[in-house]
Amino acid sequence: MNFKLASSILHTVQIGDPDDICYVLYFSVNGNIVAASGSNNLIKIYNRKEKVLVNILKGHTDQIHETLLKDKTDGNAILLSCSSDKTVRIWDMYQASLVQTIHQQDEIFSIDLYQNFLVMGCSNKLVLYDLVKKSVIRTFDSSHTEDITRVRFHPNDPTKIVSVSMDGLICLYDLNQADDEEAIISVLNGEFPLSSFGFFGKNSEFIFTLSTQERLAIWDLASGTRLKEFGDLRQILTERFQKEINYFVNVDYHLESNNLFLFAGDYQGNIYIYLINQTTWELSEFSQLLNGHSDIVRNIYWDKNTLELISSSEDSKISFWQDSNQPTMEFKSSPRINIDENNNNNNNNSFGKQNPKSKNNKSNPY
Amino acid sequence: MSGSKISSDQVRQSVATIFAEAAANKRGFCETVELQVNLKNYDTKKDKRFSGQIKLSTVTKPKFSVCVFADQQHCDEATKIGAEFMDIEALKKIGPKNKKAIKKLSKKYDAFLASETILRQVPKLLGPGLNKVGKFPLLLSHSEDMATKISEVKSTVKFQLKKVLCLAVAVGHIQLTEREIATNVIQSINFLISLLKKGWQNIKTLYIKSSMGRSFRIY
Repeated sequence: MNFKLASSILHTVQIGDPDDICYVLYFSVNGNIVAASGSNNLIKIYNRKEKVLVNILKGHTDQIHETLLKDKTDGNAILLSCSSDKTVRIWDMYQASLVQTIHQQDEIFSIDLYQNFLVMGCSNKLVLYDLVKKSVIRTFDSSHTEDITRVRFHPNDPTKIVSVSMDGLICLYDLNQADDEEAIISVLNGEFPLSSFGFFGKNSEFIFTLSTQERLAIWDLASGTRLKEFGDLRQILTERFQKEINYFVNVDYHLESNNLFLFAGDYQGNIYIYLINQTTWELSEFSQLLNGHSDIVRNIYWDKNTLELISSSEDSKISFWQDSNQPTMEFKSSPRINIDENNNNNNNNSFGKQNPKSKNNKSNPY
Repeated sequence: MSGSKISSDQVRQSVATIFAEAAANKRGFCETVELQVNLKNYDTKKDKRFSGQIKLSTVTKPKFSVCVFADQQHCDEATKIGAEFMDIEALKKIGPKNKKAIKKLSKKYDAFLASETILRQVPKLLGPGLNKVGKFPLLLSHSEDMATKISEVKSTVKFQLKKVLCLAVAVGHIQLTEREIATNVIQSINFLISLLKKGWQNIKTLYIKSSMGRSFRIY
């Protein structure tokens, strides 16, 4: 694939206004809009096709860490945002207004949503909240000792939650367990402070973790084993491909082809995309995003349907990339990861292909 | 990458003075040597977090105690090298509900290693007691040498940036050689620089000092 810069949005509205120059810290995308949060604590809503600013959401009084867009059946959408100001805010996209604020005692670094259940990483605590009842359902405060940097419901089984933290640990929670301590069914030690993670695999049975120290590791959730730790990967890639790699942005997974990609960058704003071979764990050059940014890229979103790629950076720009070669993702499928037979014996953590919309649970885990 | 802005000779000179002064004012404990970094052009509100740990060339924490939760093979290896260990039966005896015993265990050692098969069972065996004190065991695989791994754990130092723009890294102690400390200092600085987008432009000043001694500016 050969990506070329198609267009870009300058997130700073008032050129010359020192208060408005800011990093684009995080963004969320749906079919119509790009909702980007800047380091000036504002969320700007852009029309995704026209690339024009349509709304500004003002309210957060401190750093915004994550946003989440949820489409509604009537075509509208709501945006959730979490912040160091100790709130999660919910915004209506049509009205561009605040509809709900959830207050916590600590900074909230990450959120995820399943139906009306919100999970939040508040400092070192995991908090489960019911948006309809407007109350906390459960709090887990003994899993981590430092800030939780990412929390997600398991895509195939919303009774399971995974959190990663600056303390280096990856915790897996089973909401079916009533006892808060017994609910922590698996703990993996990532060794290094973790800044993010994501699921991949046909059944989201694996996770990758990224560290503040720019280290990448791959884990199998069911057996709790670390499949690969890539070592000083920045150095390895720099030497192998002769392009200086300073940090990693994200790992992205394409379900249909079972391909796993690593987005890496240099401090000048160039992005290099590598394909990770899930058998040998070798990395090969796949594509690059050049001349689109001039500073650290914080987020990348790859639309698997349109194949459009969107990146946002500390240079205050949001860039849109198109593949200049072919319109479909026609690259070879990757073989499935082979897990050692021995590792499957000792653990019962299974994530069946459960239908997440099933309401047949006799004992409500929430 | 731009060349280093400080020379190892410069560092060794300062270390030599630190050692001399520490020897002249002997304390009742082995003083730690610390690298203090003051940052600039870095905004904790928007720049990426870079807290982490560095594995140095020499052991910085000699008194650091490590216990291995060992499977059969590791029990044998631990016995051979004189490392402290507990097998799965010993862990089962404690049980996840015995808060007192788990707390006692967590206080007795500074860090834990565990064989793969035992590591997975730790939440079931001991509950989150070790999570709560930030001492959840690290994996010890059979492809690693136990003594080396323990030594690595003892050579790893943490650096954390909180809300103010300074951080400290323990780079050794006064019973190491000047050369070893100087090496650790340079390693630490180079590593930190690699995580900062402006490199040396993010560093305002660098100092080294012993626990009770005065600071010496090296940058």
